Amino acid sequence: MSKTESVVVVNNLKKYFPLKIPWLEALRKKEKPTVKAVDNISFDIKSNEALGLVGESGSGKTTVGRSTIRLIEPTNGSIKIHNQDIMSLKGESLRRARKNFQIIFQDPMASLNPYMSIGKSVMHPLEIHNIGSNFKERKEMVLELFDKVNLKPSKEFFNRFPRQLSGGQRQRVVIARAIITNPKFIVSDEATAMLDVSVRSQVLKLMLRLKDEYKLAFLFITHDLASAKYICERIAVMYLGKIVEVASTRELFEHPLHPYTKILMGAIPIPDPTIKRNKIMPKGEIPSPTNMPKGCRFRTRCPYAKKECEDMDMELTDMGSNHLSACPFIK
Amino acid sequence: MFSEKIGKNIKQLVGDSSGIMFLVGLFLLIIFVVMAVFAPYLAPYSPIKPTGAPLLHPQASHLMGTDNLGYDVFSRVIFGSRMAFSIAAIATVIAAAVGIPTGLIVGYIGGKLDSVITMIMDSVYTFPGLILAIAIAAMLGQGLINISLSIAVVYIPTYYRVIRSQVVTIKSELYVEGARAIGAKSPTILSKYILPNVLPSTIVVLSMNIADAIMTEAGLSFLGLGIAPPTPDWGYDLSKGQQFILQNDWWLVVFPGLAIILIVLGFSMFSEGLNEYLNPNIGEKR
Repeated sequence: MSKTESVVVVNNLKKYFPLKIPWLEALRKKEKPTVKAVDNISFDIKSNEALGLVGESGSGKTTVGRSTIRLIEPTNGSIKIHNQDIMSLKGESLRRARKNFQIIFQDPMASLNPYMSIGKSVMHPLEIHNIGSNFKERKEMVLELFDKVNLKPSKEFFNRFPRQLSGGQRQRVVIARAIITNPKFIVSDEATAMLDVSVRSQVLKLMLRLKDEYKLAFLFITHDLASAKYICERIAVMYLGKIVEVASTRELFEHPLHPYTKILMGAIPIPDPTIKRNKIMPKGEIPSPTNMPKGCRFRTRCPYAKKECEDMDMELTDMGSNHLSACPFIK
Repeated sequence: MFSEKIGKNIKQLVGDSSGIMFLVGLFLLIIFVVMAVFAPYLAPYSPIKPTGAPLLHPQASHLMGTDNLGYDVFSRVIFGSRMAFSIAAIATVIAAAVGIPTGLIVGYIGGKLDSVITMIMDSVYTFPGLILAIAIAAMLGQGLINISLSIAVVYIPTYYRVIRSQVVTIKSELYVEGARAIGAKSPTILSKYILPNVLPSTIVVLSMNIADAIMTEAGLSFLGLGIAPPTPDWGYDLSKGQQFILQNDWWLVVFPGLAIILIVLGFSMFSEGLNEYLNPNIGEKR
C-alpha cells in the first residue's frame, strides 16, 4: 500500500474532549480529565475507493469523520488530502481548501437551509469557490448535476424549497451540493441511516455511481454492516475511539480476526431460520469513555480476555495480505 | 416571504379564531394609518388653533368637543396619530437596528463576549420599562428624537434576547455546519443561513414592540416628558384632560384614551395573529 497514490492519509488522529469539572477540582488536579473520543487513529483511502468505518454508537465514528475535514478541530495528528497538509491550514486557506473535501450528513431534513431554494443551496459552493463565471453558467452546472442525481425535471426542482421534498430527494440535494465543487474526498456520515429501506438502496447506488465517475475517495461511516458491504472496498472497525481491525470487505466478512469484529459479524441476522450458529456475545456494557480500561479497551467484554491484555497497546499489526488487527492473540 | 404566505391563504385566515384576530388587528391598524397619512384632509380644524368656545360638549360642529383652550379634540386625536406612529416607528427602528445585529453577532461568536453583553442587556431588561424611559427622557430633554431614543433604549434588550437565543440554537443546526463545510465565510453564514431563519420571529417582536412603544410614549407625554405643546399628542391631551374630570368634562379624556387603547389593541392583535401564522410549528400542520 504505497502512500503516494492515496488521496487521504490520516496519521495518529486524536480528538480529546475536555470534561467540565468544578473549578476548585480543576485547580487541584494536574491532568484535566478528557473523553478520548478518537485516540490515535490512522488510515488512508485511495481514489475511487470507499473505506467503511463501522462501530456501535459512541465509538467515535462521527468524530473521526468531522475531524478529518476539520469541522471540529482535532487535538493532534496529521491529515493529508490530495497531497495537501490539512492540519497546517488556517482561516482563509482552509476555507479555500474545503472545495476538495465535503461531507454528507446523516439527517437530510436538517442539513439544508429551509429558507434557501435547493438550487441556490447547491449553487452556493460554486459562488464561494468562484467556480463558473456568472449566474447562468453556474445554474447550468447545477441543473446538469440535478439530472445526474436523478432530481428530474431539474428546472422545476431548482426553485423548490427543502420542505417540498421527500427525505430521499433531500439527501440527493445534499449529495449534489457535496459533489458540485468536484471534490477528491467525501465523508458520508451515516448518510443513509435515516432513509427508508427502499430509498436507501437507491441513494447507495447513486453514491457508488458518483464514486466511480468522480474517482472519489469515500469515508463511509455507518453502523449498518450491510450498507458498508455494498459500497466499500475496505472496512475499518472502531471500538471506543480505536480502530481494532482493517481489512478488505471480503476478507473481513469471511475471516474476521478481532474478537469485536467477530461479535459484530455474529450480530448480522441470517435470513434462514434453519441455520444455527454459535453466537459469541460480549459481556457486560460498553465501558464509560471517561474511565477507560487499561491496556486493550475491549478486554472487559472480550470472551477471550487474558492477563496479558491489561498491558498491551491496541496497535494495529498486519496479519498478512493487508489485514490489520489490534488483537495479537488471535490469528 | 410572509406576504406571499398571507396572500395565498386569506380564506384559511378567516377560518379560525387567530385569523379573525389578525384581520381585526389589521383593520384597526389600517384605520389609524389612514388617519395619520390623511390627517390634514380628515381633520375639520387645525389642531393647534382655538376653533370655538372652550370646553364645548361633543356636538355636530365639534364631534368630540373642545378643550379648555378651545382646540378641537377630534382634530387633535386625528393629528395625534401622526405623533404616535412616528415616535413608535423611530424608536422601534433604532431598537431593532441596534438589537438585531448585536444579538446576531454576539450569539454567533458566543463565549466570554456573550456572557458580558448578555449580562448588560439583562440588567437593562430587568428595569421597569417606563421608569427607565423616564430617567433617560429626563436626561435628554423633550423632542421627537430624544423621546424616540429613550424608548428605543428600553426595547433594545428585547430584540437582543430574542435574536441571540435563536442564533444560539440555529448555529448548531446541521445546515449551518454544512455551510461551514462548503467553505462559507462567517458573514455569509450569518446573512444567508442564520438571519433568514430568525427573521420571522423578529417581525412578531417588531409589531408587539410598536404597541408597547406607543404606550410608553403616551406615558412619557402624560408625565410632561414628551413633545412640547401645542403639538397634538394623545398622552399630553390625556394629562391635560384629567384636570377637568371633576367638572364632568369626560370627552377630554375618553377620546384620546380610546385612541391609545384601540391602536395598541390593533397592534397586539395583529402581532398575535402574525405569531400564530409565522410560527413554523403551527405552519407545518397546515
